[in-house]
Order: sequence, then structure tokens, then C-alpha cells
Amino acid sequence: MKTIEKSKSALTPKVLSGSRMLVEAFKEEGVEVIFGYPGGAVLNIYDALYDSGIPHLLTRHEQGAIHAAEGYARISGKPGVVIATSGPGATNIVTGLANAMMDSWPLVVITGQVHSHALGTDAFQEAPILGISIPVTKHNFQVQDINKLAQTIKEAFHIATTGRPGPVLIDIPKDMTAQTGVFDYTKEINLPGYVPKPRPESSAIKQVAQAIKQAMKPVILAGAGVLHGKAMPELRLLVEKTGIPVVNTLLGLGTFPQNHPLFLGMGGMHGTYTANMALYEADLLINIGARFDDRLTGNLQDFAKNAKVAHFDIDPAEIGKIVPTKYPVLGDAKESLILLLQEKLTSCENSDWIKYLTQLKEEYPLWYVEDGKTLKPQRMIQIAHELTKGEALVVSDVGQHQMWTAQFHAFNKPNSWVTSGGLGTMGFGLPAAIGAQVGNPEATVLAILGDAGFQMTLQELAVLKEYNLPIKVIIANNQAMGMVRQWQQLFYQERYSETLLPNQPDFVKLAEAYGISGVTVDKEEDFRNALQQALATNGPFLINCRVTPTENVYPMVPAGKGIHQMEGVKP
Amino acid sequence: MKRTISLLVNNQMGVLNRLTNLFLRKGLNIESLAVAPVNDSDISLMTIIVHVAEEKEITQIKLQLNKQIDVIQITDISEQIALC
Repeated sequence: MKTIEKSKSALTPKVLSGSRMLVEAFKEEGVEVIFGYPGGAVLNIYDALYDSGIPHLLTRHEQGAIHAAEGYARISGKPGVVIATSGPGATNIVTGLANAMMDSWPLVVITGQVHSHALGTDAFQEAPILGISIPVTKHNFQVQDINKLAQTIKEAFHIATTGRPGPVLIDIPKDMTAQTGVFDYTKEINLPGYVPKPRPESSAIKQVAQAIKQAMKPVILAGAGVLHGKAMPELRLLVEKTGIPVVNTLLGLGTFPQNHPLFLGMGGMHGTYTANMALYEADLLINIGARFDDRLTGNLQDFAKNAKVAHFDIDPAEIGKIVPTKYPVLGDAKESLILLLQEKLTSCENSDWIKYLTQLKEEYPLWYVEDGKTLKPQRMIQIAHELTKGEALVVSDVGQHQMWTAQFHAFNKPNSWVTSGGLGTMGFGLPAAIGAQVGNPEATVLAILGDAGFQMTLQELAVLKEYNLPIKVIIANNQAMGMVRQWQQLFYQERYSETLLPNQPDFVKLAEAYGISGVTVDKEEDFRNALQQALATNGPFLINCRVTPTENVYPMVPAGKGIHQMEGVKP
Repeated sequence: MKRTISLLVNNQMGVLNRLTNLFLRKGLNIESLAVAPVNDSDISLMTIIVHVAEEKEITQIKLQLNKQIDVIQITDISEQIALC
């Protein structure tokens, strides 16, 4: 992708059409790429983009565009920019908005809208996206005055990227894109109701330091807030100073090196037994940038039962939302941890607690059993990790393969893992991989998908070919919606209601139809060879892995149980 | 328990929808609602009366309301009302 030079002339107010304003504002914001899909209501915008010099990536569905923007935002650290037309274009992005809202990814989404005079008349391709998107955006706008467009875009970027990041939508009626007005991008942002970055209080920090001193069984839960705050070095320092072990959330994987002796694994429903027992038995739980999702906590009655809870979060509404919190620390993770590191901290190194957890870690590793016949999906993940030396940028879809990737791929570095956590959006993986590759063109991107999720957004294979994105698509094909099938097996007496997919298209032929090479494998050695071939290919590649169809994800906290009541902790 | 919340909000299209949406999501029924502009300015005063089962619910809804960009200030005036 080309880099765009900031237009100096944009700094002085001038008269422009709404569409030109959008282009100028994007340049001011340093937008490197737009993900989108044109249509009637955004014709003027696309006309302005035509010779703007800003690269545009055309997906094959608006949902693909917004998930790509999420993958891009996640990897580049910059806001993802999306354009969709009115009506169905706008409604097609709702899932992506909800996904970005849940997982706190910064997006600026432009939707076309019918002419101002036609608003509310059930006009052609009219959908009330402003009302529809209120609950799934951090904020949204509808432009009604051309002279306010520039400031609206400026505010949208500001809101999306500051504080707890999130998606912001701007709905622009078609006439606003044609009308001319004054473009002034120099005005200060004035949002009296918005305090994005609360400063951590030193008294709160001192209390946490005191609590660490008193704790016998402390544990840190590190979530995606550590990534957002770029607080990985501070987290590492805190652990080294205090000897407190670390549990990651699904989205927090990579915030702490997994080969570190004090790393206990991912917590939650399919986390490690050690991580969950640490959360269960701790007397001090230090949550840094996680929101106590129910897939992490299990039954709340049993969660961190004996622990005093410290919660570092930039969003005041997260603190105390799920778990009563004794030591709230409101602020950015990095700033807060820097302050904490200035306090006198004691170490629990060599304590009985660490010995106990180390012993659990040895006794209860993640496991699977080879059957000598089929390709185990867990083995597939391990091989992918091995052949890429753990250096790949891994994007997953949602379901069993997502959990196996979280379990069996060691994320030792931040920003090498993209997944849909809170919303659990099937179909996220392939388009998100596109965005991740655009965000880091040098990276080896593995899109690890399930066969069901792949079929939800597979039209985006066209994008891989068109832009020659060298993404390696690995399908863990168990011919089922594996995770739902697993629940039906365990809790619904094996009544597999609508979860088996025995009649699938030939995924390799499908890839070939899109001009992408691929192979089907069902043995470990074949997968190894196929992945080596894929990695040697200068372009996209698809590997259809026929994995053990009946494999389940273990260990597991059954629904409604406490996190200490895991099943399948050993073979 | 009955709680009364007073809010200063931007006097703009859609603000009421944003705020009532939060109550809808939490499954709370708004018992009474009054909105009026403050001294013809672009700020409105909103007074909302709502029934909640637990203190935790009102704490959470106040935090959620306060997160809204269009909410400038929020005050729980339940105590003041009780004294009147």
C-alpha cells in the first residue's frame, strides 16, 4: 500500500464538496487504506476517492470490509476505516460494529444515506442505521449540515481512538456528499461530556501495592487492555519485581511471554486447569484490562471466592460490573503500572503458592490423545506453530479451532493474534486476516478457520487473489459446527440437531475457482508438507485439513459450573 | 427501590434514544421522564425516575449513562427528593 502525504493546504479553511471533505479529512488523519463497498448513496464519495491517492480495498461483502478493518486496527494500532452504502450496505456492517464494540477496536465507519429530504419516507435503500447502530457503537453521527462535516469526522476519529477504543459511525445523506461548504480541520475538539483518559489516583495505586505486600496467593489476570495501553514491558517488570504469576484472557494472549515460568496459561471455559485454580484459590486477583467475561469467570459464586480484587481499567463502567472490586484503579494500563512500579513492592517468589502452581502446571498440561489414524486438530496447530517458528501472525475464526489455537499455539509476542472474543463472530476469520495482512504486509499470516465459519465469508477469497495477499488459509475441517456439536454431544444426549455438514463443496476446487492453489490433507506428514509448500508460495494458499471429526475441546468448565470444576483435565 | 437521576445532556436529535436504549438493554422500565432545555441553551436537563431491584443496577446504569458522549453531568437526586 502507498503512503499518503498529508495535504498541507487542508490546514487552511476552504470550500469543498462533502465528498472532497471526507478525502481531505482522511488525509489529515493519516488514513492508509479504506475497506469498503460502493453503492448508490456513496457514489459521490467513491468518485472523490477515484483519484484521491488513498488506497481502497474492495471486499465482496460489507461484512468482509468491516471485519477486515477490525483485523487491520488490531494489528496496525490505527483506526480501521470502512465505507458502506445506505440500506443493506449499512445493515450488513452491524455484526462488525457489535464485534468491534465488544472487543474495543477503533473503527470509523462511513455509511451513505438517502437524500436528506427523503429521510424517513421508506426511500429506496433506506435503513435507519443511526438508530440501529446506537447500541453497537461507541458513538454515532448523522451529518445534517455540510459545514459541520469536517468537525464531525475529526470528532469521530478522536472518539474511536481515545479512552477505551470503539467503533464510531458517521451516516451521511447523499446530498451532503454533493453540497459544498467550508472545510476547516484546525478547530479544537470540544466534547465536554467525554473524558477519555482518567488519571490513575496515587492513593489507589498505593493500596494495590499494600495489598500485594499482604497477599499470600496473588495472581494477575492480563487482558486486551494491556495491549491497548501498550503496557507489555510494564507488565513484565511487575511480574519480575513481584513474582506474581500471570493468567491471560483469550484476547490478552501475547501480552506476556508464554515461555515464562510464571505464565499459567489462558483462564476460563477452555483455559488451563492451573490458570483456573489460580483464579479460584487466589487471595489477591489483580485484573489488568480484562472485563470478567462470563466465559472467563464461569459461575460467579465460585469465581475468585477468597480473593480481594484489584481492577485496572480505563472504562469506569467495567469496574465492579461483574465482580465486587476492593481496589479500583481507573486509568490507562501503562500509566497505572508505571505508578505501581514506583511503589515498594514485595516478591512472592519461592512461596508455597508458586510451588503449588508450578506443580499443577507440570501435572495438568494441556493434552490430546493421538489415535494413529486421523489428523488431530491440536497437532495441526502445533505443526503450524513449529513450521512458522511461532513468528506468524495468527488469525482465527470462532469455535473449536479457535480454542485449540489459543491452547496449542504459544503466543510469546504481542500483536500476533487476532480473534473475535466477546461477540464470537463466525465468519470473522478470513476477512480479519485480510486486514491483518494489510496492517502488517511483511508478516506471515495464518488464517486458521473452521469449515463452518469459513463458509460464512468465503467470498473474500477473491480479495486474496486480487490483491495477492499471501495469506495461508488453514481449514480445520471436521465437517461440523464443531463447538455446537460438542455441546450437543455432552449436554443434549448426542442429538446432533443441524450441526453436521457432511455435504461440503470441495474447498480446494473452490480455491482454484478463485485462482488460489490448495490441497486437501488428512495426515500429519501431508499437512507438514502442505504447509511447507504454502509457506514457500509467494501468494495465498489454502489447506483443507480433514481433522478428527469427533475431537472435543478439553479441559472444559461445563456451563453453570465454577472454574475449579473443570472436566477433562487429564486424558 | 425508586431512584431519580438528573442529567445535563446535549440538546440534540437522538440523545433521548441513546439514553433510553441503555435502560432497555438492562431491562429497566422508565417510570417518569422529563426533558427541557436549560435557559434556551444547547444543553437540556433530563430527569429520569426508574425502579431498580438492587443498588448495583443503578450504579451500573449511571456509569453507562455517564459514558455517553452527549451526557455532560449526572447526579443521583433520589435523596434530595426524599427530603422535600
